[in-house]
Amino acid sequence: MSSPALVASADTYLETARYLQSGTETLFAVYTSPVSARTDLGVLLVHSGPNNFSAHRNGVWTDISRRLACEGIPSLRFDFAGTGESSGEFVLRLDGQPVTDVTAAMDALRATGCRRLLIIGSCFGGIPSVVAGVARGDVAGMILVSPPLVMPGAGGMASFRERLGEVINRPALRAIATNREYRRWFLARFASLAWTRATIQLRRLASRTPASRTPEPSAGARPGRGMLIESELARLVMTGNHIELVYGTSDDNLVRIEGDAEASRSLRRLRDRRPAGLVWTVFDGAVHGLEDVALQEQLIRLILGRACDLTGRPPTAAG
Amino acid sequence: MTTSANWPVAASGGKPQADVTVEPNGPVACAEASLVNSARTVVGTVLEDAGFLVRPDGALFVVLHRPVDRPPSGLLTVCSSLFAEQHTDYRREVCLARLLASAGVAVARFHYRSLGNSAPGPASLDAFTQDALDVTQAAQRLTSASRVAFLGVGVGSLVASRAWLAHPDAPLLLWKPVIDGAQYFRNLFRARLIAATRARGPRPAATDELLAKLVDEGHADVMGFTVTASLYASLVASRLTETLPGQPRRILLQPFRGARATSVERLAADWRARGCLVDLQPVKLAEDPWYIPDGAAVAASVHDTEEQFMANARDWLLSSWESGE
Repeated sequence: MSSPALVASADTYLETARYLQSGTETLFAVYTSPVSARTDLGVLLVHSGPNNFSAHRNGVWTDISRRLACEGIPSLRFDFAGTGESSGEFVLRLDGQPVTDVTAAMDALRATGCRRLLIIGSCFGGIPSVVAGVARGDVAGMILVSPPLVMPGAGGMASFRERLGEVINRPALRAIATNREYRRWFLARFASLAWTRATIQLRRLASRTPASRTPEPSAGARPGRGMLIESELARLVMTGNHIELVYGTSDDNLVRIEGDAEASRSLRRLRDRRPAGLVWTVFDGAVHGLEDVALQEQLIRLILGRACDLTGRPPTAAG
Repeated sequence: MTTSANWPVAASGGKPQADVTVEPNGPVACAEASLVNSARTVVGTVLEDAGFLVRPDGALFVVLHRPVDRPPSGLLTVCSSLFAEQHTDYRREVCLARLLASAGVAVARFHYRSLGNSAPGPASLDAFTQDALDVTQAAQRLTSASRVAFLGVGVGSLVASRAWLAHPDAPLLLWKPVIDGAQYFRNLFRARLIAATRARGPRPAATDELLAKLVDEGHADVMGFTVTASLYASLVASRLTETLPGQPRRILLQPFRGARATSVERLAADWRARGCLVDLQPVKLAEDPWYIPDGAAVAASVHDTEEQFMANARDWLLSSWESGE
């Protein structure tokens, strides 16, 4: 393959359009690489899904890519199937095509010579990123920007079978067998779920409330239905990855977590297990949707800082 | 307005990567038309090349859609909308491009300078118009298409209508056209208030304060998009009614339901009075005045109504070219 051409006025990065095969769909991506002295870390930028494209709002992904290149860090930003320039129809799912898409993008970035990956997932984009990332050993960290860890309404929740599938699958069982930290977390989680379930049953018996009766809504944190991708997040945290959850104080996705006692407890448990592995960053304002230019800049600096931390190089003024 | 970009460009011949060397700040060091650092794919019966058009004004991100099995019968350049509206329109424009390419028409889509995947550069209506003309010229060379047309979407109508004047035989298509730049910004600033309320954020600065910031700092934040003073100044003074074609031209107006549609009838009458052949086809889709990306009007998938109005645009364009021969 010949050397790609410099396409911008700056001589610090190269940008190349790519098409990636993702199952039966073709994804569009832009690969940004430094001109010289690249690190072994690659950054994958995953946008929020529908109504978005590779550059993200206000070109934030483009800006991050070019500034990462100034730090010697290559990156890839891409369109999910059914968004931007990619083929297909977008489907909001926790498995299937979106996960295949992220996996294809991770593989493409690895194929450029990166040995470790930092994944940045915006809103929904964080969910398939976690699911795809847990199945591989090259993810060094993830920054999830306002991920919808608690879905609004029951319709958006995973079914009992889906949640069971999250826990009882080959990678999870392998992690239980081989990773002591994960095993401890899993058993503690299992015990906690069993205790919660038993408590509910005992209360029902005591109050003689029919099992089918819908609980009355109440103010404050409700028992909730738990957190999406909890098992995957736990596996990533327990196996030494750096996971950072970034929210804004007025993000609906944060409010939903705070209003769901089960989800709040799950996150607290993970943070208690590995405080350095699960970092919780809350900006003042709304991070979701990146609808504030000043917050965009704060986010860019945070991502640059974390990426540089992982490479062991201090950020330069150019980045 | 001139099509002055005589920068040399390079041949790709379908290669996933271009074999060219481009000096920073300099012209491309080869002789034929091409997108550099490009990739190619086939979607159904459509060949798509995505890459960068390198020129002294900075590289533009361009996607060229064309039929896979035959030379295109013409070329349509899409001048997209801006800011949040560009995001909600994006997939619709990709779908139109694929529809037209499968009907034998090449379509050139691009990101204006300083936006999306294109290189940074000073943004203004003149600059964006030059971008549209440069892309059109390069796409014509790449496809050998002799017939050209322009599509303007939203505020991109102001760009498309100016680029259109440099191509005397080209038809013009406008989707939910912005007729008055000043009115466009008034509505955009109003949408900012709605967005802040929706996000439960603090009440944003009043419009006067925002405009003062534009003057003082050269840019301002509108719902997470950077609006530069040069872009604002050039757009706010622009009106579609001031686009004066020198000879009778063919125009298709496809307004959506909403505030902009009320002025479209008057625009059509104006242009007809100047001898233009104007077709007015209102579309049963709502404008999205608040740019809230979760309504049916902005869904990622293409609905029946969208397919119908795109098919109407395709049929109108093909018949315009045929009747112009």
